[in-house]
Amino acid sequence: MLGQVGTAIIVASFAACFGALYLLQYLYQQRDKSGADWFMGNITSVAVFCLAYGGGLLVFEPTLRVVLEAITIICVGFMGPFFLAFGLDYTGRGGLIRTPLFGIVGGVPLVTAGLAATNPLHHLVWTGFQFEPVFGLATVTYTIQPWGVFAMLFSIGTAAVGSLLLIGAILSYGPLYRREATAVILSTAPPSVGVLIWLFALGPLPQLHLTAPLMVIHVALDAYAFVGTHMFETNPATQRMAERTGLDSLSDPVFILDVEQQIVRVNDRAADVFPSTTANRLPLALDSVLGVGLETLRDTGELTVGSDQGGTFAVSYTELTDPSDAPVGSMLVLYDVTADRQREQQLAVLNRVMRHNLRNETTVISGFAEHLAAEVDDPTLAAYAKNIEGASDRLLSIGDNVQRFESVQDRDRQPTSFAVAAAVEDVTETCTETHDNAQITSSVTPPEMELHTDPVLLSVVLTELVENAIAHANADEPTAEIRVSKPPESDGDAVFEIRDSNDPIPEQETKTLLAGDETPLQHGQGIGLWIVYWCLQKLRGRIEFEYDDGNSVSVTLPNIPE
Amino acid sequence: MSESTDKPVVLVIDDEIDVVQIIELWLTDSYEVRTATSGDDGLDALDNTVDVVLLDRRMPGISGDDVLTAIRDCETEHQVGLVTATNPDFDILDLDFDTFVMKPLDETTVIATVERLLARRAYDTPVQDRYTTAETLALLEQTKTEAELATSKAYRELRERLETLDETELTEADELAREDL
Repeated sequence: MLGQVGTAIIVASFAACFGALYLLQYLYQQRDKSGADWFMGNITSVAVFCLAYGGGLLVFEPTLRVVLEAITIICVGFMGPFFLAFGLDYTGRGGLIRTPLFGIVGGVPLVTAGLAATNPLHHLVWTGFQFEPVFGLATVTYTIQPWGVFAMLFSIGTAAVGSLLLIGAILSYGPLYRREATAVILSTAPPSVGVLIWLFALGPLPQLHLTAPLMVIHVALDAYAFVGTHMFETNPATQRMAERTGLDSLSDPVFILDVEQQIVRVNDRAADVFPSTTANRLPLALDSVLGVGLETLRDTGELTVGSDQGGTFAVSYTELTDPSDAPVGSMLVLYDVTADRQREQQLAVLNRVMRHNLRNETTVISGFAEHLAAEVDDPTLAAYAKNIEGASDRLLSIGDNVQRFESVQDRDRQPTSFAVAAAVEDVTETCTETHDNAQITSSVTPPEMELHTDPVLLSVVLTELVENAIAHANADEPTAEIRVSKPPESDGDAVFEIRDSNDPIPEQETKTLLAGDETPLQHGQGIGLWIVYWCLQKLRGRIEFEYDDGNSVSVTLPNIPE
Repeated sequence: MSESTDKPVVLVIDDEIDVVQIIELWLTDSYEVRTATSGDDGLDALDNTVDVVLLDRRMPGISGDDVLTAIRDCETEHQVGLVTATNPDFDILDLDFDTFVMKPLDETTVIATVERLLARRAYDTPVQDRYTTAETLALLEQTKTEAELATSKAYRELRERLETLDETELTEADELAREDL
């Protein structure tokens, strides 16, 4: 007659079996994922073990009982190697499963199965099988022989290695999966403890094998770790392969350094540029490969390599940390900026030569035109000479604008808080000095308004727009007004409105600018507005054009962080 | 001062012949103008009668910098205005010019430059030095960014040099220099 304890043991064993079957059906849906088939093998072993053991406790017929007990031994033998295979495949080391070494691992449970099936003939796995009922259960005792002990310990050992692999992979996911990692660690403990207690008869009732009921905990923890969190969707094997492939497919050299600043891994491109870094020579000191140390690289931010595959590289440094934020090394990426530097150099030379030639030629054109205007008696010819002078001045202003463009392009945004009224006043004064015939006024509401942006770029924007208004004025005494306000609907942004009384700015100019690009057939007249546009890109501002008895150009600027 | 005429002698050296011609046109009423379109020709035309040299910095063959060095090696007291169409860099601090003029040029600027240089001949060397230092600083401050100036050791040294000169009782010369700037 079964007692409460006996009933509980049987119920727990069957519950573990059903839990394992539930996990199996989940795993079946994931069978195309790396490691899923091996994990199914492990869980199948668990399910069969629990069923055979739980069922066996109800069987008092000797032959059938021996068969069921042999099945439990065979299942325990398979659990560990299956779990190790799962761990290897899931963590992207599936190649190891197909090696001769793993053939030995797989051979142990197969041999155990064969020996267990034929044990009555040789007694190499157990001897002295006999019933020794407890709690009304058909419990048995027997003496495990050396091969049986070895097979059980081998299974526990391989399961432990598999667990370690999984823990490493799960930890690499970061803090998000810490609880799952803990579950995986704990899941192997109950069956391992159960097997060890039974194997070495450590408990008060050596005939009672508690591994099956303890499997409830094992299955529940595995289900939590793998099913509840969809860990098969975040497969580390895929991640490992993606990392390797991604790294190697990068067209820029990448170096992984350890904490000693030694190169421990490079991608294919790095090996091309620095042939001394072939994998079998690593680790190598960084300065022995690049010629400079990490600190120098970080300070200069750039590296020039003279070899055939070399060039100029911008250096990006990233510290690598483990999940507890402890430094474990660093990653250096060398971005090839050779073409950019060449283009910058070419542009700089072109700009310099163009400005040089413009200054020489406009000296000549303006000088002779002025002389002609003074010397000729014919007023029409004198007017023509004046026209030449004017054209020369405009030509020269192109050079100045190109220089201004260059300085804007080269400038890194340097935001700071400043009083808007003072900044606007500076622009007004500068423009008034340059154009003494112009009337330039300004107003800032509220007068104490402050803005956090780059004052130099703002000054370029305002100066350019005011000068644009003056340059295109029809009147002899052009007017321009700068109004600054913070409308309630502007969400703290400052709105700079530059008003004039000129004819409308050609739509072609504003359209081109707002489109952000030029085509051979659709282009503006100069680069003044482009300079404004590029400055605003750096200041995260925007520009709007309206016409109401004069042009109203509104520039909206936000406060930008450091 | 030239012995042949009462007019001061100005030597214009520039490889751009049109530039040379227009400068000559501007100066010819008030000065005796000699012209050269290369560094070699310029040095050949240089003698003790030349008061002011307007020297283009960038020329093929012997550059303006080399011509300037050759002029200083002569140990004659010519006033040299270095003329350039490119923005100056900090390397101008290594050059021994008296003033620096940026193209494009116009009649007013050229005449004012020559007059300024002629006037300075009357000053002692330290006063002339004060002028040149102040002008060079002003030029760099006009053409270089704040960041470039802040990181330039040469600029910092020039500022310190100006402060030293300021401390040597040159108040009067200082006032004149500021007026000229």
